[in-house]
Amino acid sequence: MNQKIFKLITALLVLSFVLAACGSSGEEATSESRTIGFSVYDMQYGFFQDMEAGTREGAKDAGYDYILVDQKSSESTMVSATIDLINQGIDALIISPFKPDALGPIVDAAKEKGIPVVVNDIGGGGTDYNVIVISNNYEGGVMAAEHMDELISAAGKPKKVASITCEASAVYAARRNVGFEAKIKELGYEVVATLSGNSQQEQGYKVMQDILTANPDVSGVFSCNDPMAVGAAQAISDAGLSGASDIFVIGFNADEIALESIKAGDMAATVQQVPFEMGKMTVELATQLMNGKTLAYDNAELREIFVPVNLITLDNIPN
Amino acid sequence: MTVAEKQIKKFSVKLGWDLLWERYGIATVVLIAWVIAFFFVPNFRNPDNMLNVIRQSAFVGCAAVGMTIAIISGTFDLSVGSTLALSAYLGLMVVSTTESVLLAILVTVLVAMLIGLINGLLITKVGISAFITTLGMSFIVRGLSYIISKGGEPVRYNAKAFIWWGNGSFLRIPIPFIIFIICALAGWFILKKTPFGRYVFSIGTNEKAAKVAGVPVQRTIIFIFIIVGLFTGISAFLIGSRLYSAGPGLEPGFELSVIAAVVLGGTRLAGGRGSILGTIAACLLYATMGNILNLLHADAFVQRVAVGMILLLALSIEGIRQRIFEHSSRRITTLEIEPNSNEYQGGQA
Repeated sequence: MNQKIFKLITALLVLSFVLAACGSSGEEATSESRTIGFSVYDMQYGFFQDMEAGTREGAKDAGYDYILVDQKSSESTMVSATIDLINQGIDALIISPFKPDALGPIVDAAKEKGIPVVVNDIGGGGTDYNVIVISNNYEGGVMAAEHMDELISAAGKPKKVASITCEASAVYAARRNVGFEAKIKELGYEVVATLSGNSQQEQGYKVMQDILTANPDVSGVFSCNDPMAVGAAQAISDAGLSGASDIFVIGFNADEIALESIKAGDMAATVQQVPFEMGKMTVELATQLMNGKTLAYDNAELREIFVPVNLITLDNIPN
Repeated sequence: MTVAEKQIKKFSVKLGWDLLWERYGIATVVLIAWVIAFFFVPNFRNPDNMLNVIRQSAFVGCAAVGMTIAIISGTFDLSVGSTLALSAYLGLMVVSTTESVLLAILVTVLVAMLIGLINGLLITKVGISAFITTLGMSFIVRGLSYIISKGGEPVRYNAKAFIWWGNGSFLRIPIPFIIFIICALAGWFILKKTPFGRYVFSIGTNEKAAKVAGVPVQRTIIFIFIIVGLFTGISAFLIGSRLYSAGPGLEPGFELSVIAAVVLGGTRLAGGRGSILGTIAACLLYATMGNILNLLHADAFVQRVAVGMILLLALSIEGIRQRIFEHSSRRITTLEIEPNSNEYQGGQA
């Protein structure tokens, strides 16, 4: 008796979870319409949620079917999920890779099926992708330098600034500091320190303390990302000064903490990337590639296309 | 027939069903899942897709063979994830500088076996529990891989001779899957055909009794951890090759996937019972479910929930099974039922 109950329960359980897995079967793509596949870095992050929304909207506007997979911040999942995507017969692949170094098998598999690959941000991993879309980091640094110059000139402070960088391996992010330093020097400033905070808030704090000790008369700081900028602003306020009126702190990314910090008057500005527009742009590029057009690269050697960025200050801060 | 004999007879029937589930349950589930997916999940039947599923099963699979042996002996290893990352990273470093694939295989596997040896020595000679030892080791090894890589960027290498191991095929069958099956056969042979395998079962069933019966418990445990290292090293090499790269942050949570696959395959965490076939089936099920969820375009957050639920469900089947098994039978000593079970080859070799 118990045997039968056991068998029944087993059978039901097995059936239920198999059926559950098959429950919401998606409709098969028609052969006429094109399908765009997007492999996203990790949907846990706001930046990639915006990027995904832009990609989805772009695909919808163009009348494409759209399939999304999430790499969940794992290079293994990045490869397995994206290969699953390619095997569903997509016509173009858009990917924001968690680890560009593991792009190799993905790009090879796509090329084997003749599918164009559009990389959105992060990096191309030295692979044979068709195009990579990245924020115009250099220009963002230049914008920060120009704004800082306005602030410092208006306040009549010494022309001495510092630059906090991300880890050396973040090659695209490094262009922000390069752009900033080039422009600020051009405007007649001295860069008294260029130090790495490894992208981390605590390290931004420490680095700023060191800068303040060595150069008490520094009047502006540019940080490669917002967490480090917020950390630096904290160090400045702990020294009894303000990061928005005594030493001007400008970050990069427009992260929530930075926006809060600007509103609270602890930080001067940040540079905003536009992931939604980047997403839309990748679909347009995919369309051109599927139609066999050649692309107008900003940097032809590395097949890069740059997306403009915005400066966010107290005057234009989003609510 | 005496009353006792009748009881044993009745018991053995129940035991038969119980063992049948234990051995073939998950394999049956996989087959059912495949049949249903074949007809109802769009694109599943695409040969490229099905081959990708079995390829995918191998990366956790090879390490799971070693872990099956560890869990049958009543222990487990939480350091396999970190070991995977360090050994894969060192393997990539070797192959990208020397361009010798053979040397890369050797380094990857030997590093992983060395970590296994240290685990085994700490557990047996110093007497720290396996949980603490391997947990501590996982932090140390992960930290080491970040130190060696000076901060964490992956090493990349894409010569054909290297990436073939993770991405190639023989007669369309993915190479990693072939290696997985070879590993599984080796694991089966070790467990079933060697004195060492009998020691593993007897330690898992009752370590004290095994010791009394003359099983070299300490030596066996050290060997178990070396074997776990060996199979983890094979997984590490295959993943490095599959990704054309390896970084120190490779596969966070890998150890849990491996342990989950082994337990899902019917191997008891308490030790003493388990099978390689179950582990193979569970790895296939894991890969299949991940694939099906992707093909059905399941939301990423839903996927996380689904994977957890499948695991809980599988484990509760195990729990329900044991409850029915225990309630429906009078307690009969383990000794008397031994002839009915190939899995119970406890005692001395």
